[in-house]
Amino acid sequence: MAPFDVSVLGRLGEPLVSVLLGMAFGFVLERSGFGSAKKLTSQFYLDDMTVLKVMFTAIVTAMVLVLFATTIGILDYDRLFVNPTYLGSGILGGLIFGVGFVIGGFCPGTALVAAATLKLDGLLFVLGVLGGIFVFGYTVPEIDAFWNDSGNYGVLTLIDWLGLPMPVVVALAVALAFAFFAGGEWIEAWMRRKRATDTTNAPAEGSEAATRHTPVTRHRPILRRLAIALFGTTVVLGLLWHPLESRRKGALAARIEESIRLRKVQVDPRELADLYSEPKLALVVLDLRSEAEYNRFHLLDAKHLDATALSVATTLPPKSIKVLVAKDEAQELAAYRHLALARVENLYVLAGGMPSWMRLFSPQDVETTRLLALGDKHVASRSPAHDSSSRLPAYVPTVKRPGLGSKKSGGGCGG
Amino acid sequence: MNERSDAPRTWNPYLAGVALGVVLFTSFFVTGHGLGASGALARLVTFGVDTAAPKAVDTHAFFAALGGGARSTLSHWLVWEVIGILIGGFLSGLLAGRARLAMERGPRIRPTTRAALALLGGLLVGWGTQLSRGCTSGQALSGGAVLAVGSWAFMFAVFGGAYMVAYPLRKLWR
Repeated sequence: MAPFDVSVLGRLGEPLVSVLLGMAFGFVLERSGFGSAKKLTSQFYLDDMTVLKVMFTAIVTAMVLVLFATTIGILDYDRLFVNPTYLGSGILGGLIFGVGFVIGGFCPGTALVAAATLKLDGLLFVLGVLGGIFVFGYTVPEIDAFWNDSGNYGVLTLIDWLGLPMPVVVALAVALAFAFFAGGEWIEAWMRRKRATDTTNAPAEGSEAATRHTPVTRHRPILRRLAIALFGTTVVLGLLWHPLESRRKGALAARIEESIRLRKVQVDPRELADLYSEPKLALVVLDLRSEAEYNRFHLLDAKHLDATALSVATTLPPKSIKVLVAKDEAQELAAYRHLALARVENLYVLAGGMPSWMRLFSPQDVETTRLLALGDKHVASRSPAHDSSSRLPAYVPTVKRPGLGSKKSGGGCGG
Repeated sequence: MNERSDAPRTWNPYLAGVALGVVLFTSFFVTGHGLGASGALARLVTFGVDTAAPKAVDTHAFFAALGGGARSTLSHWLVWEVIGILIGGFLSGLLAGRARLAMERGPRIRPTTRAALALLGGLLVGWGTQLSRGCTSGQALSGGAVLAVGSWAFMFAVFGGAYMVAYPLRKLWR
């Protein structure tokens, strides 16, 4: 099941795979004409929309292929690196990037290709990028809060954001891309007409206009075939999406069992106590025991969750840390499996169940509390004071803070 | 064949896009991540800082995140991939007769101006990539293909920023 762990190929596996992918990437960029600053900036002067065409075709082609591999169950979409969303810094960085693109004529990848084909402006641009990154390294402490906290949504996909199934989102993206293509072709044709008129009206300008002219061929037949291929595939995959649900769930279930086996979801009671005292953290403790047990005693702010109405938990905010608590770990894990399959994120269970908490934090015998209807008024339901937890031996932390970095390390080109 | 134009040796943009999409998908399928460029350059900068002033890496969170570990800053898939980009780009340029020493510029500006502008534009883009945690490759292309909301926002911001200044700066290119 893809993606694979390339480290199984040995020490040279990852470098080799990366160099080969880079070679293909560089080759295609150069073949698109992107080693030329003139070609690239023509996008912004509207007479050659190649940048838009190549970029959006690439995005939707890769997207449809990802959808295809996901639908038939050979690729695990949840294990792909998805760039975390930082809306504020991402948009401001993009605007600055766009300004620099027009001034310098490149983006980093295309400048590398230009430099590789001996274009001095490409090389200088790369040197400029290195300088810009250097300056950023020293200026980032000044804007740290903005860089990290402005519109930080963690890993947020269009699927989550729109609340639509993956094939529908892909179909919408493909439709948007083809709307751009139609617009791009229309603008190019309009610019060609405009140029022709300029040439007839002002012959003095004619020669210059001719040298500026970029040969553009009509792409209608290719565009039509591409539209049929991408839309057709998306529609077929959309129809297969629900019938093949069990195949995808099988992969998800295997991954859930792996996390349980490696104890990646079991939270030590001492860690839970520390989570209580973390002010910024949205913590939701879900008590799965019977209503009567819950009423007699429960952890501070714990919500009672009926084991027959688990689906309520799917409506909780995705970024909140959810900890399931029950009379033992087995009961917690049964609910965990159910909710994790329903793609509830940031979900954990209390290691050892309620008894392990009581052993650590209840000054009295657990049995005595069972006779009282205390709710959360019992001393053991509070998170213990810092000094008491600091006396306890250290634990191995399990909980990952959402939105602080990515769910999988080492992707993208953000660094 | 037209001497002045390289058009016969460039691919149709839609077919080039399909090829790029297949490369991008292969990257996701095999390695779990997309493509990138600026991340490798950030590692190169960190390597430079680490060589010139090792203390600066440890005292600046940004460099420490990239080069603070025991593993070499440059021992990373992004760096290998960029070496591949240079090889692949050169090969394609060589086969198409485009690997020639040159400096492209608009008709109205002098070579020295173009050189200064390439550096300045690079500086802005370099700073911007780190603010937005990725460039057109690692953020827009890769994140866009796996439906990351931030990547789509970044992509539209890049086009927005460029179109905002393209007309006022038209003398650079037209």
